[in-house]
Amino acid sequence: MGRFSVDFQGIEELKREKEFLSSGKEGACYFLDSKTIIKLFHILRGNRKINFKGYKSDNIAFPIDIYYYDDTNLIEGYTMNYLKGMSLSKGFDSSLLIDDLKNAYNKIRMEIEKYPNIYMDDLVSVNILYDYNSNNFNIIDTSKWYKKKDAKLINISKLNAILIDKLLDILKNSYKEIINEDSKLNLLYQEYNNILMGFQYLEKVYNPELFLEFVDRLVKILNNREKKVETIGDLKPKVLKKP
Amino acid sequence: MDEKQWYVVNTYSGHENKVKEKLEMRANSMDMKDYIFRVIVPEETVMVDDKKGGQKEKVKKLFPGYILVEMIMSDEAWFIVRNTPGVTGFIGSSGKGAKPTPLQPYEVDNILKNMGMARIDIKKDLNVGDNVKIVDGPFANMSGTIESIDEEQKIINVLVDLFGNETSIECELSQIQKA
Repeated sequence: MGRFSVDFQGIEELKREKEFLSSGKEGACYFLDSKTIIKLFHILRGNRKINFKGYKSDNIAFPIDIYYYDDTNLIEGYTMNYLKGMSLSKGFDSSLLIDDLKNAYNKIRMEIEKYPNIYMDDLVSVNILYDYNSNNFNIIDTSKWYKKKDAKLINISKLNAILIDKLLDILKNSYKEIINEDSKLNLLYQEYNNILMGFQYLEKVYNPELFLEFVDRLVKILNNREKKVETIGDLKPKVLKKP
Repeated sequence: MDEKQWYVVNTYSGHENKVKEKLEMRANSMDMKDYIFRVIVPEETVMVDDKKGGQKEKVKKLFPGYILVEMIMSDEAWFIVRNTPGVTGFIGSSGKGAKPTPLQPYEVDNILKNMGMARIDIKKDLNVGDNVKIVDGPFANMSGTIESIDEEQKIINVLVDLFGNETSIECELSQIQKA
């Protein structure tokens, strides 16, 4: 991880010359090259300890270099790998195969487990991308992450809750009926609810298999209803047409 | 913290109404109606020139990319809002588990007033004997109980302790907050 010193003029030049990617409430991202982006904060950050020296991942956008304002400790921004994908905040594409989703989940879970002591404070749907070309999850926005012992299972619990939440969104109002139909699914749903109730300050470790168990059980129940579920779109409740 | 307050939520620009609809649906389907109350897209009606040389009314978003949510900030409610499709974050959230900062009552009042709405529903939310806090004017930060309510004039008389004497203070709706 490198340390770069830049002044106001240097940042303005960078903004002019580099291709703009996106902007959020905290900062704006620009391409440095096709694989690397720089996030520049709208306001200089003096209280962020972005220290992920040596962390490299193909699916998690760890900071690479930090840009400081002149020789101060105020952070102008940081670079990271450009990770593609559609934000989960926009939901899943209906054509996504359930098996691909499960495989992608297993891969990102293994990736999260490689960094057992990084707590992803802002692990929410907007910061989780799904790349439909490679069938991979990518996690972005490290600016609110910090080191915390044994954080990996908490991160996975959060990921599980977010993914179950997305499935419930697809099921719309029919989810209650489906969950109440099966005691095992109901228990898994309760566990999801327990995570929600402590989401921001999550300390307890929940069943790390929660998402996979939930999705398998859900598919089984829907298949028993003679509804062949292969894709995300198949989870959508059928709209009854007027006779 | 079980007080219902207004929060500013950042959305993808142009998706404000979709997010409002989705959030209301989620609050309903996930039994969170006791935690997530009103969702509004701040708007104003302006007159614009039309092609025929006349003028027509147009609804304009006051803050593109933002919606206001009235909610009790429990962890569960936070999750439901934060993970609603199209939501990118809460304004005034510093991270590390800190809860976002709510809007001040006077800030909400100004926005709602422009939209013909009020922060407090005088008929539903207030009763004689309720404890309230005065949030604006010379008696700001004092607490008291409602003595009487004039629904028509939207005036509330609040009994507060002034130098040991119970004194009735006349307040406008925007000057009080439920305690």
